[in-house]
Amino acid sequence: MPTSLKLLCYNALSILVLLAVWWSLTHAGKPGASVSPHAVWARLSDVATNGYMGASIGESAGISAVRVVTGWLLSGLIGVVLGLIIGLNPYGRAIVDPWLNYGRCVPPLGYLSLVVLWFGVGSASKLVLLLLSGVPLVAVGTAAAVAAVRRERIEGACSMGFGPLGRLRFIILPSALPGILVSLRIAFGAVFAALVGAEMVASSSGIAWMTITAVNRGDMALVIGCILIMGVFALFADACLQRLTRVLVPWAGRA
Amino acid sequence: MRVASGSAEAGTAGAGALSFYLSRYHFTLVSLASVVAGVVVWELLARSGRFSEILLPSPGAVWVEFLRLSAGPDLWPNYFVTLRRLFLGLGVAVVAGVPIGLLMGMSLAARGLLNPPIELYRPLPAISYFAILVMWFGVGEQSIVTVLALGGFPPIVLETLHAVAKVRKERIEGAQSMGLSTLGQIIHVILPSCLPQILTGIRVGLGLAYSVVVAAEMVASTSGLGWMVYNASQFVESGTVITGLILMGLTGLALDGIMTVVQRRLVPWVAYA
Amino acid sequence: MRNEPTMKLSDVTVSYQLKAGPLIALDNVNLDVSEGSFVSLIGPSGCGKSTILNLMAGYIKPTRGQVLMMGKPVEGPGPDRMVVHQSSSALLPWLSVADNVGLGLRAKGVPKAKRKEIVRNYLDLVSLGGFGDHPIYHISGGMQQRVALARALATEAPVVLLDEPLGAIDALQREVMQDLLLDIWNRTRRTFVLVTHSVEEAVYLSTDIVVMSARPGRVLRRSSVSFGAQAVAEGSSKVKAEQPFVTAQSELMNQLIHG
Repeated sequence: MPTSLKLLCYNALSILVLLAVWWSLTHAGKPGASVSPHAVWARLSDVATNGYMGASIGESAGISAVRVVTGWLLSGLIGVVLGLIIGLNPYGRAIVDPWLNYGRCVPPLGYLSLVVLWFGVGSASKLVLLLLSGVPLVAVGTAAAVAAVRRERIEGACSMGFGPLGRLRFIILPSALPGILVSLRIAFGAVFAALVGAEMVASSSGIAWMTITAVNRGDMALVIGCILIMGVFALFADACLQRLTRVLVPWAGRA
Repeated sequence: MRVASGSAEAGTAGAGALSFYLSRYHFTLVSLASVVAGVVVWELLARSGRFSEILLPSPGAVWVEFLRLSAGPDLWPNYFVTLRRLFLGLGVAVVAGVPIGLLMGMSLAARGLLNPPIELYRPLPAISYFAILVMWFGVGEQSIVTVLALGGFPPIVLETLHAVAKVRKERIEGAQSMGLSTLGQIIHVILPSCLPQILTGIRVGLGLAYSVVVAAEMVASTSGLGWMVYNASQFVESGTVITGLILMGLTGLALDGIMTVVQRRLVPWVAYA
Repeated sequence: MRNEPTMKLSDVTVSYQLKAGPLIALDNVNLDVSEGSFVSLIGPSGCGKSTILNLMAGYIKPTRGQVLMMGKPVEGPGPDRMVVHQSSSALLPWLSVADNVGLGLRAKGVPKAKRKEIVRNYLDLVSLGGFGDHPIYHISGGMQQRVALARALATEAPVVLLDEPLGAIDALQREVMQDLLLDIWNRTRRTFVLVTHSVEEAVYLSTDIVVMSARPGRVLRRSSVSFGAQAVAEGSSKVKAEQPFVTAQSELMNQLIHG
């Protein structure tokens, strides 16, 4: 049997075991602490049709998805521009570096209290929080990628007569692209985590708000259902970003 | 050679990604100036009277607040509660993650069986499954330490696993020729070869766990730095909030710095930024 | 032939201020490269041969003295002096073979149709016709080196600066590439400056060999050879097996070892 097929068999076995453990736990465990897959499904379809405290599960998940994607895209845009500036300009880097490094090391939810004090509990404060958690990661990653562009490539472009803009467009941006994409993937995880935390602590909408409300009401089936939805979303987003990397950087690892 | 050192006497013709270079000394100087300028701008904004003192206390006021908190009974106990949780959770993640990563790297069966559950929960923000843990274990140390262990675990396992795959065949074959047992090979060849990446994994895991501990304390806890800051914000005590936030950032920087030092000491043959 | 040498270094010194004290990379070097010649720079590592190439390319400036091209001082890098680096690391993986070769023409603003035609010509010249649409990372190291060469030639630069272009190529490919270099030099009549470690390569390819010494970098002596021209005229590389070539090779080796 080829190795890859063996691996696949083990993978399948593993998932079967997981489901079996879940199923047996629901039969052995104390009621309320664990729920069967069936119960989760029933609860989810109930909430999908009848809603939960005035919000359907689709709406809640949609609100969260829009928040995450908006926050991530804006973080990416600001982060890449900032990263290019500091990657290309040592003074810019020296000025911004201490702030970015500091920002990178603060736990995102730490900002939440301050942001809520300043911007209230509305969507503005969430966006600011997501930017605070995403921008430093993208900017630092982009600046590092720009600084690592091979000297020969830039010298070659100078020899050919490219000016600064030509070098940016033809050499620096494409050379830094793999590193930028990696930092965007990391930033997505951070932004998603920050949003889930923020919705749990200070929000009245979104999938994580629904989760924490269900926790407070002892609704285990809905808690697990919401986490499954978040998991599917996270896996889907990660797969999309991986696919994007493969399409945009087919030369990754080969040059 | 060329443009690498800022003090090169020969002129450079601007061929690099950067159009000019700063020496380390100048870089530090400019960075320091930037921090000082930031604090001055903060002070000026606070004094301008455009913002209420409740929303934007001046740097001096925050310092006074810090001294007051520091002398009081709240700040440091909560701070050390957070640190204890962090190190306990990360400790569990390391103790479990490194052997499991080694096992997965060396055995196809272990890799095939353990990869699906790890890959399925890895993309989830740890704070989301914290909800289940709270329902199981209740609000308290157990649920927080567990979520930190689970959150810090994936990067440690995956880095270890990938490192094992990259250990040079010659090294293992050499160890086999010398007659080392499997355990001997692990201790003398595989583990040291993987150490740089394992440390990278621990560093990433530490960063994740640090973010999670603050979030978890805000969501379900009545102690710790995260709870303290969140609680203060409920009473609009912005001095405490900002003090806590600065302390969190400095602690994050310190943790990252400690990991850098550990990496330099333990694996000096790898270059770290 | 013109009176002005194509490239000229006059009293050039390059030094770096290091913590341990000044490092003199080049000490008062004078060097003329006349039009259409094939000049090889050879010497132990640290003799400054790559520094000379970087000076000519305009990547660095001399601490003292002047670098001139056709009598005018070199101010910076430019499309009239193309560099071929070792191991083709300057090629861009996101561009196809043809787009890599055409990049310099794009910088010049050559229209697309014209660009295509020039690129095809130069790919044919390096025997890579038909590989234009391949990604760079799909072709072998030797082929990549030929792409780098075609790219340098495509801008019609009168001077081609070669920084150990055959250093990372296996022995068999190297023989083929040497003949290809000779053939291209003979057909295009550009001025080639080659930095090399290989005594055989220098003796076979050059019209002029410049031997250098290290610490500080100086020109030891300069000699003329014509085995390459002979090989081109005879259409084969069998000069390499003949006595005069072998003698010249061992003489150069002696100079390098004993100074």
